[in-house]
Amino acid sequence: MTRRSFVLRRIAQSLLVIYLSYTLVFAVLFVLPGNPIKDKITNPLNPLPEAVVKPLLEYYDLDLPLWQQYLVTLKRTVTGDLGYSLVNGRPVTEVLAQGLSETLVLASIALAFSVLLALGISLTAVFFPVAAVRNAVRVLPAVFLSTPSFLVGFALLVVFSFRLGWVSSIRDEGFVSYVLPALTLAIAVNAPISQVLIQGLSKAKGEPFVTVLKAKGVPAFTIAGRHILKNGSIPALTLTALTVGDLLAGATIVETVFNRTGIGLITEQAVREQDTPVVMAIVVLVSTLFVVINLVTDLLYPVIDPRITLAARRSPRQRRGSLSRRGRRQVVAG
Amino acid sequence: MATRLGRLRRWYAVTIAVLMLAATSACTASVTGAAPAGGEPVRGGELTYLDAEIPVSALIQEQGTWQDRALFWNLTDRLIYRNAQTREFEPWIAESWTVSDDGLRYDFVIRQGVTYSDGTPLDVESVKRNLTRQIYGDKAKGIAKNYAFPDEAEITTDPATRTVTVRLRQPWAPFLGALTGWAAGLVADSVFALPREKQSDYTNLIGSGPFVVESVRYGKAYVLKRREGYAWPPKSSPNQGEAYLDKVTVIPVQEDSVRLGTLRSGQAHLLRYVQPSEEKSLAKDGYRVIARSGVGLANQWPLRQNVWPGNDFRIRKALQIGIDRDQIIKDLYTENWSVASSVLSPGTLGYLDLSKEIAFDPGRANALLDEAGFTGRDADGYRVKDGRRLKLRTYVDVFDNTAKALFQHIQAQFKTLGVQLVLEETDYTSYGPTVNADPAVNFTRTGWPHPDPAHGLWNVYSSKRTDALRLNGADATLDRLLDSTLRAPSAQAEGAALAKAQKYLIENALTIPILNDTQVYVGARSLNGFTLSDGGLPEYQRAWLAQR
Amino acid sequence: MTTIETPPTQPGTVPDRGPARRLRLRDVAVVDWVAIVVVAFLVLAVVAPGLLTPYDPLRPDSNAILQAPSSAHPFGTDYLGRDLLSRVVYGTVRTMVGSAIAVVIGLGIGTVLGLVAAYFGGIVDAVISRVVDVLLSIPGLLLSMVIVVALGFGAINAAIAVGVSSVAVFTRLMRSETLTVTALPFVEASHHLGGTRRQVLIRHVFPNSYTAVLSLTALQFGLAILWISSLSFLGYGAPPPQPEWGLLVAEGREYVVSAPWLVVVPGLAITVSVLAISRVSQFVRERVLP
Repeated sequence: MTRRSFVLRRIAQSLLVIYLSYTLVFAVLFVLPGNPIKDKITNPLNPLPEAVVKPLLEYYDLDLPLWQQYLVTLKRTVTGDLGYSLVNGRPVTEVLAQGLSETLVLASIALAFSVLLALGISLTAVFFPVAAVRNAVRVLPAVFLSTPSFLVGFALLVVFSFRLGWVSSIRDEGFVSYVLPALTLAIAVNAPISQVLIQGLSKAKGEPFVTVLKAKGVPAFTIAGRHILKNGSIPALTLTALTVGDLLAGATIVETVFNRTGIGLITEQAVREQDTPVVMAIVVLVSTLFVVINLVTDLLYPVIDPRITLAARRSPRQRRGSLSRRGRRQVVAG
Repeated sequence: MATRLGRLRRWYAVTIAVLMLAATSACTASVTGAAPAGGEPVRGGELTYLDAEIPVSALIQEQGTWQDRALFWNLTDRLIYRNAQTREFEPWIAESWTVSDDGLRYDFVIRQGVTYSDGTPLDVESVKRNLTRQIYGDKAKGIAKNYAFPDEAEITTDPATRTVTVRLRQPWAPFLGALTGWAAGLVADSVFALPREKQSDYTNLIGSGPFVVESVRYGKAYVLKRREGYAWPPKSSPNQGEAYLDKVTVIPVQEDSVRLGTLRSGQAHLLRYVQPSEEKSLAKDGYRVIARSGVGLANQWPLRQNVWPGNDFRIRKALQIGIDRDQIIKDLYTENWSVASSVLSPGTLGYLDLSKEIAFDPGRANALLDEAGFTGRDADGYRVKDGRRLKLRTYVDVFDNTAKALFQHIQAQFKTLGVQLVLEETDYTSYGPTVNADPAVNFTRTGWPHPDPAHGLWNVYSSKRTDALRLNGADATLDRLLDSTLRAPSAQAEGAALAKAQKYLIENALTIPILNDTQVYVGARSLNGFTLSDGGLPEYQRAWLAQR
Repeated sequence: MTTIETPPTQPGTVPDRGPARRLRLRDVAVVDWVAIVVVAFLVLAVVAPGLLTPYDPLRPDSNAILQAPSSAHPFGTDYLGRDLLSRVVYGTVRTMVGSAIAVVIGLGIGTVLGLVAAYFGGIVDAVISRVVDVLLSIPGLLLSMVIVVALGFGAINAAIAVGVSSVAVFTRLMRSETLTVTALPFVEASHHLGGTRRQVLIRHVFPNSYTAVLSLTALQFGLAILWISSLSFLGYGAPPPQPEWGLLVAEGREYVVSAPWLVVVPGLAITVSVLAISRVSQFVRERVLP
């Protein structure tokens, strides 16, 4: 099984995933009661007569049967016409572009902060000379993870924006405005990376090659940096991929507290209001990103660790006859 | 966590101390109505206003969210203005008008010299196009009509006398009221030519109002700037010319605590909605708390007649008089909020004070429930009759932030009467369809500000419309009363008909009024001259900031 | 929803349980004692809440609205005058049950799926992995909404929704762990020694792969509480007036400026409980079981 056919197969499967997600969500949204246009009739706040709402339903093709609506929207989506929001009439591409740009910047900064924070925590937890401090720091990832991010975010906001006035809570001031929300996200999300690094570092710390290096006089820091981190970085890579997914998919609470219009908030509002065109576009976007990240991670594994190959995975039954295999251990990528 | 708590409280204490020190010569906070003037108006300055939600669309005859209304109100003008203090109609873009005795013909004389912000004149032709759009909508573009307007009308113009004449086939009493409504703003022709999606966008909105849109970053900042040359506000406006403020920046902040914190830290001048529990400390710290119950319907629970026990008058009456509304205000709200005294809010055309009818009387309520046969009590303390527990069911209102606390408070009050109130919850979009489709729901909270009370009541209670009582035409008297309010030929006739309708609804305990719907705004001390329209919308044209 | 996954253990290693030792009371650290005490309190709160507080969590008190913590009300009162300590205590059972359901569903279904996918490989694995991808592509909120709307609103159904959302995470983790174990020589050896696939799966592969998954469960528990809390805030959880920790945090959000205890106390309860449970489960696994 060559690498190219593996990649082609995975791409085909990825397209299938995207298509299935699209169809499933479309069906689900159709089945759920309520849609923003029909709600204008039943909405107790401002109920409009049916006769008044009918032209709207026709305009948005919402009076067509399910399968017809599905085909129409599918065709439009594939040709790049993502439609308009049912709630506010904005082009969906514009909605997504705004959300994405904000989220991408925020997510990148948050990821950088997470990694730095995780490094700091794990290095301290494993190498700091004082045992009490090490034990205290080891608990930190769990504490960070368990604390509701609303509390963390709001506390940061109170101190740095309301009390110290260093940054505005409502306006966009460039990079500065991203610091606090990124920090809140980093605190919430860094736990897996920290834990993995702590595990990896503690394990590697006891390995013979570290003792050898120490005996040779290599400074602890270099050992940590060059040798241990590299060995511990595969699981960290998997985790980083997942963390990116988490960061992108929804930091809704953080976005609400810091008044940002990122993808998380847009998704939540679109889902809550059943703004079908926007939700469908987000699903396509998220599932595409997801499969791309998966594929890239799978392709990267052998680059980092030569012991892993993209060998086709065969079931144990098939492997039974290969007792005589020598040399490289075949650990399959997944 | 302890340090975080400590930090919050220290910050709180510091803020209070600082503000107390600085507030030595502050005027007392305004409780209701307009903020008192603190000196001569100052021209210039940029107001930062924090709204509670994101404005959605400029097609407000469909959406009508508070934040859209607030924007639309300041970007456009209307033919008639209803004075919030006197509740009288005033000339605005229509400098005078006459109504025929049979209510079938309206003549409006249009003020001279009014222009839209793109330079086009606001003349009789423009008014005619606007009225046509309000009455008929635009089917081809998928734009709905304004449902408070009549179903059809014949509109003619006479440029020589600057008159627009509207002829109706049947009287439509809400017409003048509808013309004062937030959705009746007049827009330029260029707007009509755009497709639906572009009309939803505020950057394309061209009106004649005291402000124009400078820029929009959706969900982040809506910047309005002064309309140069504005000279046609309503007669009662203390500012008869251009707005004092250079700019108004509307920033939606959805998280209540962040909105409040931002105001308190001096980063904004005005916000809409705070938890009632915050109002006292804000007033004490010198902030201006400005509240208004918009004209229209009061917050009420119409009891469905087709669901047990809604069809038993004694039970309905017992519930109506079994709620201690003053206690609710005392526990959950402040003096800025008020108890409902009718199905309409005070100051609305035709409002009748029926507070005696619904006054809290636990003795009589219990007697009525005994009379209805619910003399037994079950293990949980609820009344039973022939083994059936006296139980009502409803969904917590999703449109009111205070609904959860309010409903639970009443739930506890009903418990002392021996009545069980089961509260269900559902989410925002499902709410409408769910409460309508669920056959076991006894009532849905209704009653909000509306430009005309006759249309508002009719829209809620008529069998031909929402039919909140689920009568299906069974109560011919009620339908007749509601129709007569709609078809009254004059304002007096409308008022008289409304009085009859209110009495009918209250005396037969068909609905349980709770509170008057109230909008609360909080402004910084530097904000002066700020008023709310009769519908509870911010009026920026009269406001100014004391120092830059 | 933020997730934690421990990495697949390094290829070629078998989890080391350490030498068996008789556990002496002296060996138990202070932290462990604190955790045990906390868990004991939680159990008491579930079983006999009345012992921990005299107040009725549902009864409003007009004279005690939004009071700060005091001797009469150690955690303060809420917007209806209800004692917060009581609401937290009586809310324990609903919270614990809700999160337990969520975790059991996620763990149960996810483990089986991941195990099957990794062990059988080939098309089975491809199908399961792609289904997981689809599940992950659907916005978590939408998934929860669908389930809650289909099953009805309430705390239990919200918990089921969270559980289903977390199936994907457990599946992937279990799968990567199983893949690692399956590649080990001793598994091949078991096959050659004549074990059927099912026997090998249950007796050898599964016990070695689930340890990593289990160690996460305690923390996933806490995440479930937080996720149910955001669902509660949007109206999908427990209907009022019954208390539930996530709901208390959600309700308290609106009062943070004037009454911060309404958010901090339930938030602390969540944090402390999750940490304690995780600590105790770790303690039990490492010191008591071997």
